Amino acid sequence: MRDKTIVITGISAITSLDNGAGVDTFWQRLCRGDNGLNAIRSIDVKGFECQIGGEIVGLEKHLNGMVPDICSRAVKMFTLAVRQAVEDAVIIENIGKVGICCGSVLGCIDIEERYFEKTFFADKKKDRELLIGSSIQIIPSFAAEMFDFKGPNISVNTACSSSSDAVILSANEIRNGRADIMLAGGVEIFSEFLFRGFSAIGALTKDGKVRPFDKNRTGLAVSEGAGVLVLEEKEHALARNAEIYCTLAGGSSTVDAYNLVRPHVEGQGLSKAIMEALNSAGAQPQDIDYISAHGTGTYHNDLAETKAIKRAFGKEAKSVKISAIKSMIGHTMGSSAVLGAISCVRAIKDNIIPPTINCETPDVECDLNYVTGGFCETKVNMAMVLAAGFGGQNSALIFKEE
Amino acid sequence: MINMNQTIAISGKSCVTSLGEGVEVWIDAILNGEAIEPVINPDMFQTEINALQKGPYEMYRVQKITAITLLKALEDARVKITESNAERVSILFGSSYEIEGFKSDFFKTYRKSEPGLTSPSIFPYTSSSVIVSALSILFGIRGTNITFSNGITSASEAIIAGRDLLFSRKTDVVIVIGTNFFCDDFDSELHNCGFRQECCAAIVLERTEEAESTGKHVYAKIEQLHHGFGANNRRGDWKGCFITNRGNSFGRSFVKKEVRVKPWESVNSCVDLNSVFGNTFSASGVLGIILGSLFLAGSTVLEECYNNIESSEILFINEDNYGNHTSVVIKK
Repeated sequence: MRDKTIVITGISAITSLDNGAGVDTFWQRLCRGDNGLNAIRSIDVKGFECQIGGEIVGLEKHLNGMVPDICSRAVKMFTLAVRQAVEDAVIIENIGKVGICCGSVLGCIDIEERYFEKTFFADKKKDRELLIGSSIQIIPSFAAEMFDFKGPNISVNTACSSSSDAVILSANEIRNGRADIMLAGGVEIFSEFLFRGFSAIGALTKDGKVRPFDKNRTGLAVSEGAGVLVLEEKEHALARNAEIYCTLAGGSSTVDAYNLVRPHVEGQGLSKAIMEALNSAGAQPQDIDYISAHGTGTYHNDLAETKAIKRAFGKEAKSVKISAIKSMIGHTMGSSAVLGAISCVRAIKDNIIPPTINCETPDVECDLNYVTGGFCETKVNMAMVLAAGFGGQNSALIFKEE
Repeated sequence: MINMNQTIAISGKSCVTSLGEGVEVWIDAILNGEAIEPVINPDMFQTEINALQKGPYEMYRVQKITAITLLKALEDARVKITESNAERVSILFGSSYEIEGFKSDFFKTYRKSEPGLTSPSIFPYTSSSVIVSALSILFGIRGTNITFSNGITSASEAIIAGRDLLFSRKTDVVIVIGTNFFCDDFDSELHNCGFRQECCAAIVLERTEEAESTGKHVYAKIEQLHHGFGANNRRGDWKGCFITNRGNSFGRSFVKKEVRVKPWESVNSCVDLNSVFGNTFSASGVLGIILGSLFLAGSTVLEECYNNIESSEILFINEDNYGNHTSVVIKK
């Protein structure tokens, strides 16, 4: 990631911690170590071992009718995230060619569930309107239409790395002169489909808590969320006097080609992504002050991620501070990477690293420098976010103080 | 930043339909008025599938067809995946609804309500990204994997990203796969919007200088790429041949603002992909390029339908009903 310097000029996050109130609330509650996971309300989970999830409450009050009711919750959440990012970055008319790239795994699955319900169980008729509304590319297209973005409009799915890859693709759009500003992010909504899926593969927490890197971890929590980074070439940002949070210094994505569900046991693909990201940023392991880990709280992820960091960081692995925000907001799948990226951006801005909550019993196999027991105030010059997903998708992004 | 004068070479291609492999075979059958089976039966490639098959579980139909398409494209481009190049080969996938069958099957199972009634084996396949992940595992390809879900323009977006990957030297070979599979769950919708036959198409992209220096056959070169939303970013002075794919995926526009191409009076020739193959959805981005490269190579497959399609460069425009559009220039 050289030649043009890409900077971050706007951020937004919508999770169960802030319930749409904005990125400041998200960040404050994250640093406080608040738990954003609650008893699941939107679906009946009677009989399931897992009873918790990260559902956003009261989303509608922030939308103010901005998105028609008929649209998917994914469209609503992402459009709200885009609006907040647009406001944060002060994107106005005639600012240049603005594009958008959205990562999501299941997209408008709520509409699709309704389509399936109607087709197979209710009146057994196919509903054309529902079918149209379930297309995943509606998500960025609706926002592009609403905010009159004329630049690239991309919808991408690389499982839980989706929003990282959205950032990398967006940086390429700017670097190669196809856009002046890109809004890159992701969205995932809570759904019975997703909950049932992760329940089926035995990945959900059984004790009501998400405990990344803890010996007593029992699994992840399905959550919803959306996040957006505003990417812009530095000169373009300076020319319009935009506030610059930090620089996108590097990034890379790789695949394991190993297993459809589990990460490579030695974290090979993820370590390669880390090393490539360091290389693209012109950075050394000792330059990284903070890693926002993928940290799902599942045995396979925690071990593979720890090994990947060790492999890539060498003797520096035990020095770098690591936290897993999924302990507080759960796993937001397609948007999880960008939410981790936002924690990096704010960590650099505020020199605070949020904690990993519920990590109470050390796991001898996960023996790195996890930030537990409260936030950590420290100088953060460079931060890295990691993501790993189904199919062995891995990614790493590096942000640097401007 | 990419030097916009650089080109990428199309060094391999494949297209699988119910008729077998090859676009020319398909076009011949269309022109001859043959009744073409809409759905691909992967059994016709059973020998190759058996050779590819790993592990005890039989591949799903979608996996088989995409695997055969990838295999044929790699063979055509003379690309062999080895331990030394596995990390330098990438697959970019254009997909819209290929996994809908998995989704509805999974839904139907869990809809019966009991917590135990879920399918751990189907669930991973409900994410469109898993098709290309499965291909990576099958072929041992460890470069970049990205699935684009941009409807009709999916594969075109993949080609644009592929060009960036090649010129950033992140990868040496990019295989772009576009798919158009039949799905029982919305069969009537597919037919309403012009679906005729299933197809899965792939092109292999390499940096031109490297493809040529290794003596590869280069079908065509991709010179310019653009994409955007809700605005006409196409060259208005184009005098050569056009290939267009006008999205009509669901027979109406979702966005209010119409995006329409300029009148065709000044254009030498315009070939509409839809009128040739029917609506090819996410495969269209690849099919348009394959068709263009056939024209550039002097193929006469569509001679009786269009005049003046002989050209040294072709502009392929792909657009969907959401307002997204891409344009690609390919040259001899």
